Amino acid sequence: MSENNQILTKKDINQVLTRYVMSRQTCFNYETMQSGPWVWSMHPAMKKIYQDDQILAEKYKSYFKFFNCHPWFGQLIMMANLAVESTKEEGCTETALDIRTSLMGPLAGLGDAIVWVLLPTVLGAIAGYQAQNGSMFGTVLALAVNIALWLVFWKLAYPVYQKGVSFITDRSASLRNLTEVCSILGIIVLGAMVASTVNVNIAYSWTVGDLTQNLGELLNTIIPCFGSVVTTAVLYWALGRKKMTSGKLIWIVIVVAILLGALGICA
Amino acid sequence: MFNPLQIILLAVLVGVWTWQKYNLQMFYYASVVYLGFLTGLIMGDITTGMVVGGSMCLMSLGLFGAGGSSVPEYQVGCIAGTAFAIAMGRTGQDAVTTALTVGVPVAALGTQLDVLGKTTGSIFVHKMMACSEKNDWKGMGVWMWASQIPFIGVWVLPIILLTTVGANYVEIVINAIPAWLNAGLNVASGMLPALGFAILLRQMPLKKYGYFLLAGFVMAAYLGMGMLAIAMIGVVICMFIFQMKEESNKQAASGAAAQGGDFEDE
Repeated sequence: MSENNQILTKKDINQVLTRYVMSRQTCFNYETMQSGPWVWSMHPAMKKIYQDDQILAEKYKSYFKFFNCHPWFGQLIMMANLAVESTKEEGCTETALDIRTSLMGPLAGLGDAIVWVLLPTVLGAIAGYQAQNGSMFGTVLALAVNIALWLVFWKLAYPVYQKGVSFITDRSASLRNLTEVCSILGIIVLGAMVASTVNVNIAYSWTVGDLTQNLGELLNTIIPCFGSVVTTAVLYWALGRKKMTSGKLIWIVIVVAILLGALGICA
Repeated sequence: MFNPLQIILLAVLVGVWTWQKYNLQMFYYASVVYLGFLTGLIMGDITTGMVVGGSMCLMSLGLFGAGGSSVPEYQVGCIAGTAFAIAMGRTGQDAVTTALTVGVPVAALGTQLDVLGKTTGSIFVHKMMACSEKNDWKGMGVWMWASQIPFIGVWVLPIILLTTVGANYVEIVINAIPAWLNAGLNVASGMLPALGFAILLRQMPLKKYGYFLLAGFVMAAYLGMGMLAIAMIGVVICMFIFQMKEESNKQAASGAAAQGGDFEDE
């Protein structure tokens, strides 16, 4: 992989990026997932590199094969691929596809952990509570972080093209560590969310003589937020069962909650 | 119940949201809140939009479609719920209850709609492949964008139906809901956030790091700390662990003088 790829200018890269962010999950399907818009997005750059429609059609057959990654990291993988293609060496497309296939899993893990789990969960909780009290500050903050991070990924595309895939692989150990600690942070936050955001109150009570005992209060003295902890644990267990999907489970939760509410067990 | 302009704007909001959720992704965080706000703007009651958006946002936390899977869609649920709550003149806690009655089923149905939309994608990607073989680059783009017609359509069409021919039926159903069912729906709204967290926990390396759940739980349940404070302490803990890991990496690298650069999934 050459050190400086000069074939594509900043303008060309911007064109590819613009196409990619506008379309990156159109044609999403269960067979090739995100491969369709990938080809459409890389086309202007590939046309400039090869200038031969016949060659392009041949190469696109490979690029149309299965691709699925965190969409934001997808654009960085594409830049690493275009860096390889810019060399126009024999077998460079095979190399590019190897890079694409080997990076998409780990980078999807990192992207999911930070971009889709950690930040939206924490910022969403803040925004949600504030909005309930009539303030949009948390929402503006969340969107500002979203946009800032989005722009970082756009800017990262240039060095990834310039330096090729080594820009990513040189940092592989750090990226792996980053993924790990982000998972840890996610787990800490989730532990807190179960207590703060889930709200399952057990209302069942009984009376012995003059004394009325509330089951929920009793259980909360053993473990605080008892109902919430048990609910989350049960749902976690249920999701691990074969043939159980989140789509089915949400209906089950709604029905069970209505039953528990109607019977006065929960309130 | 809804005037034509409101119906059009709600349909456009759902359509643009569906496109941006999958593609642009520049406005994703806290989306349920701002979509409630925008729906409030369209319907003429921003305060109710905000309160409903905030409530439904908390229910949606943790939900995201990892690896192309489909999850409940609270964003569109929030748009539908807020629209009906305001159209029926509800405010405050009443509005939230009405919005949940409409919005939660819509969000739940969203899982199925999402699968339906993604199933159609196969047709279009094969059309793109055929165009590519014929070097028809323009046609390739046209077929790619054409995929958005059914993909966005499966979301926009139900919203249009719900706000036009369905509106009166929805109102009748909501007004007929007995108190016990409303109580049950309130229980559901407290329980549903657990689903998002359970889905996330399934994707986390709990075997290795599950004990960190306790740290977060203790800070929230026993110490009563706020989310931002807990996240900040979490960042400190994680930065420390990151430094430790980086240093041990460096030592391993210099000790063996080996080449790094091997980025494999664990």
